[in-house]
Formats: sequence, structure tokens, C-alpha cells
Amino acid sequence: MSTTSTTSEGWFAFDKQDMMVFILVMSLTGLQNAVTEILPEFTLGPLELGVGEFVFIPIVLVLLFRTYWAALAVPVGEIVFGEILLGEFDGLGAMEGLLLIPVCYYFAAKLLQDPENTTQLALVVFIAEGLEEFFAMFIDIGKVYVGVEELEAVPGLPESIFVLEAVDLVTQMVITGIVFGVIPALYLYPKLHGKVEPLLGMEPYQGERGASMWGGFSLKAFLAILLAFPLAFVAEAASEVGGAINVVWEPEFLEMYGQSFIAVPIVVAAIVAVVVWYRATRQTS
Amino acid sequence: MTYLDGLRDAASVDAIKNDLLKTAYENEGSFLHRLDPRVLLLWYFVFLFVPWLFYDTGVLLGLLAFVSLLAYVSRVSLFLVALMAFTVASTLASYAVVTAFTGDPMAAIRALIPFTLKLTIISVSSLAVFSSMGPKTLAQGLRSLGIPRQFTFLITYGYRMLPVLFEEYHDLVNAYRLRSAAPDSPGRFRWRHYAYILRISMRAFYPMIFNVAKRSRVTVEAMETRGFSHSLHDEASKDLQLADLRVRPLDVGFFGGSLAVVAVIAVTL
Repeated sequence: MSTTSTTSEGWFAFDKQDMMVFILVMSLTGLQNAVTEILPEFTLGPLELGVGEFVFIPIVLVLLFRTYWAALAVPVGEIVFGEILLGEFDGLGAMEGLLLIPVCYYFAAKLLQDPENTTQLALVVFIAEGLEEFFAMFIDIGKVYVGVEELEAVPGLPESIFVLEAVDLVTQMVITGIVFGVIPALYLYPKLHGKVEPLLGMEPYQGERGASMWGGFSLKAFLAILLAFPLAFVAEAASEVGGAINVVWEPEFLEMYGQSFIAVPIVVAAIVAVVVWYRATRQTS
Repeated sequence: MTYLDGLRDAASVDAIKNDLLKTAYENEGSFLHRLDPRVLLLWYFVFLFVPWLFYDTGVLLGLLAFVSLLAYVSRVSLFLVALMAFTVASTLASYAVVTAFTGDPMAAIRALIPFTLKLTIISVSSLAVFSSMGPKTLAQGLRSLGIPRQFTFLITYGYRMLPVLFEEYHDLVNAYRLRSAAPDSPGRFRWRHYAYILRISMRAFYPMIFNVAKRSRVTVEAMETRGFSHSLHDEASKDLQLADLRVRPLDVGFFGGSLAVVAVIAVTL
């Protein structure tokens, strides 16, 4: 069946088959993202009612191929198709998905030990989506805390942010997680299992009948989640809150030195620009 | 009724699809498109930080006007702008509504407005930069900054494939619609109709998965026969690909000019 050779040089332990899987998952996630972008959606502030995403497509594909690369292709697809092409790319903010989604999906995919056990399948899909949404909620809350100065001084604001985010988590889990996640995944996974893998020249995952999910508990994957969460938070905070600037650049600081202190970052930026320009022109000449 | 029909036409799936594809592909003539991708990326990086330097609402509004002008010049999709405006407004409103129960809504809005303005400035500038840059120049820029070729290849691949995949998917949805019966009565608010469309758009992904699987295998095999993995470690191939990147006076002028505009806004307002 397989006609492509699998050499491991080049892409660090990323062989041709990994690349096929990567392109497959990336294209489908991206297409799904672009399609759901077009479908009507009712967004009320941080609350999203309506078709957020056809999340069953990336999850089922990751469950079929069960590699870290397949899981990594999910956020890359969203970034390439959904954000860069449509001009919605938000730079460092995209790091949140890039860090969180692969570790959560990979961890959940490893938990699936018996592909014919429907309960296990449903649970795994739910865990994958739930983990990701759960961590994303904390990042959203933390973001506002870092970004709005003197947040606690406004009566009622911290509570309302917390309430809104919690309600959002619940609606997301019901709509995206169950209606567009678990239920279609239960149909799609058995229909694809053993059919798509041979197309790419791979053996389908057999698993073990009646194996428990604990057998697939990967400590490494779990540690990766715990490691990725703070990193994602830092990246998100750095993108949305301008990094350390917001901590130093308080209104008190400005009162002390005056707004004319603004010249310093501008001069620094100008110097950086000149240096970059100098280097770039020297390279090309 | 005719007004309603007009509205529906303007907001129809096809119109939005065309609008989005235009954003992705028709940016050849725009001003920002002529600039060097590295300068644009650096500019974007600077504008990630600039809004956080100010706390005055007037200055922030001035900055917003400046980046909006840039977005206008680079012909950003109206659909995306409307989507963003709606998100910003409804976020503020929903915080106000919930805070009305827990505390003082006006104080909450006052505290949130500078924060929201800053986020909006950043999103508008990213919209301007990334929708006018075009994936090919973006891939070149990222590559020259040291991002691995594998990733920049995926950007250009997505650029080429998105319209094809869109078209194929649309055909599949239409095929499913032809082969199945629409619901007899649309139901209240046409909900049966929407549920039917939604179910079909989910089912159309099933054949799509096989098509894409075959295509990705063919792509990788074709790339290998042309020596893709071999060229990854070759400096000469990198130089060849980046040969036409050049920072010209126009780029420096744009960069310096934007900084000057920021300075003027900060001093006068």
C-alpha cells in the first residue's frame, strides 16, 4: 500500500507520512474554520451562541492518527486559513491556541484505548474540548485583570467578568462541545476508522477491546498541559497587554516624568528600525 | 419585503464568501502591499506596544483614526470590520448589563473603555497589515526572519488551496441538497430550514475528508519528487527564494512617517 519511503531526516523526526497527516488535518480544520466563519452566529460580548466551530472534525482526525503532529496541525490550520488569509491574525495572541490545543487534544487522544467503545469515545471528545475551553477561560479572565488598571477599584466589575466567562464556558461546552463535538464525532469516527488511514498508507489504530482509559493516561502529555498553560497565558498577556510595558507604564509613572517621556520608546524604535534596515540592505547587496 | 430581500442578498453566504476571498486575494494594488514584508512585520510589532503607552482617551481615539485610515487604504473587508465593531460594542454592553446587578455600570464602562480601545487599535492594525500583505509575501518575510521553511510552505499552500477547497465543499453541499428532500414546512423562524442546511453542511465534510486525504498524499509525493526535503538544508535555495526582498526608501519613509504621526498625536492631543 505504502509507496512513500519514510526517512526520518529533514523534519526533525517528522517523516513524509507525518507531513501528509499534517496537511490533511490542517486543510480540513482550516476549511471548517472558514465555513463556520460564514455561518450566521449570534455573539453577545464574550458569549457566543450559535455555531462556533465544527469541532468534531479536528478531534476525530486527531483521534484517528494519534500523533502530536496531527494535534499541532489543528491550531496551525486555524491560523493559516482562518486568520492569516482573512487578515484576522493577531500575532502573539495566536500562541494561545498554538500552545494549548495540541497538548489538550494529544492528551485526550492517548486516552482512547478501545476505538469500538462508544462511551470511551464520547468521553475522550468531551475531555479534549473541555480541557481546552477550561484553560482558555482562565486566560480570558486573567487577561482582563492584567489589562485594566485598578480593576478591583470598580465595584462589581471583577464579579461580572467572572460570571460572564463562566456562563460562556457552559454554553460553549453544550453547543460546541456536545452538539457539534461529541454527537457528530460518535457518527464520524466509526465511519472513518480503517478507511482514511490506508489512503495515506498507514495502519489503522487497533487498540484493545475492553481496555480501560487509564491505560492511556500519559504522564508526559499531562505534564505538557501543565507546562503549556502558563506559557500560553504569558504569550496572551504579552500580546494583548503589551508585555511588561503595562506594568511599568502606569499613569503615576507618567505623572512623575511627564508625557514627553514618550520620546524614549519612539527613539528606541527608530534605532531598531535603522539597525534592521542596515542589516537587511547589507544582506541583499 | 423587497428591503428584506435586499438585506438578505447583501448578507447572503455567497456575498460574504466573495468578500472574504477578496480580502485574501485582491490586495495587489493596495499601498501596504508594496512595502517590504519585514518592515510591515516590524511595524506591526511596534504597534502591538504603542497603544499601551497611552492612557488618554483622546490620544487613543487619534491612534484608532490613524490605523483605521491605513485599513481603509488597504481595502479591508467590510464584513470583517462590521464583525469586529459588533463584537467590541456588544462586549462593552454585556459587561455593563451584568455589572448593573453587581455594582456601578458606568464606572465599569469608564474603566473598560481605554482597554477596549487599545485592543481595537491592535486588531485594526493587524487587519490592515495581514490582509494587505498577501500570504506569499508574508511567507517570504517570515522565512527571511528565520521561521522554518516547513511552516512558511504551509502558508503558501493554504493560500493556493483555500479557493479550491471552498469550491469543492460548496459543490458537495449542493450535491447533498439535490439528493435529499428539504423539510416540508420551514417551521417557526424557518428553524427547520436552518437545521436542514446545518446538517447537510456537516455531512458534506465526510466525502471531503477522503478528497483531502488523497490530495495531501499526492501533494507530498509530488513535492518529494521535486526534492523538497533535500532543498530544506540548502542555503542556495533560500537565497534564491528571498532574492527579491529589498528595503527601499519608501519602506523607511512609511515606518518613520507612522512614528511621526504617533508623536504628533501624542503631543497635540
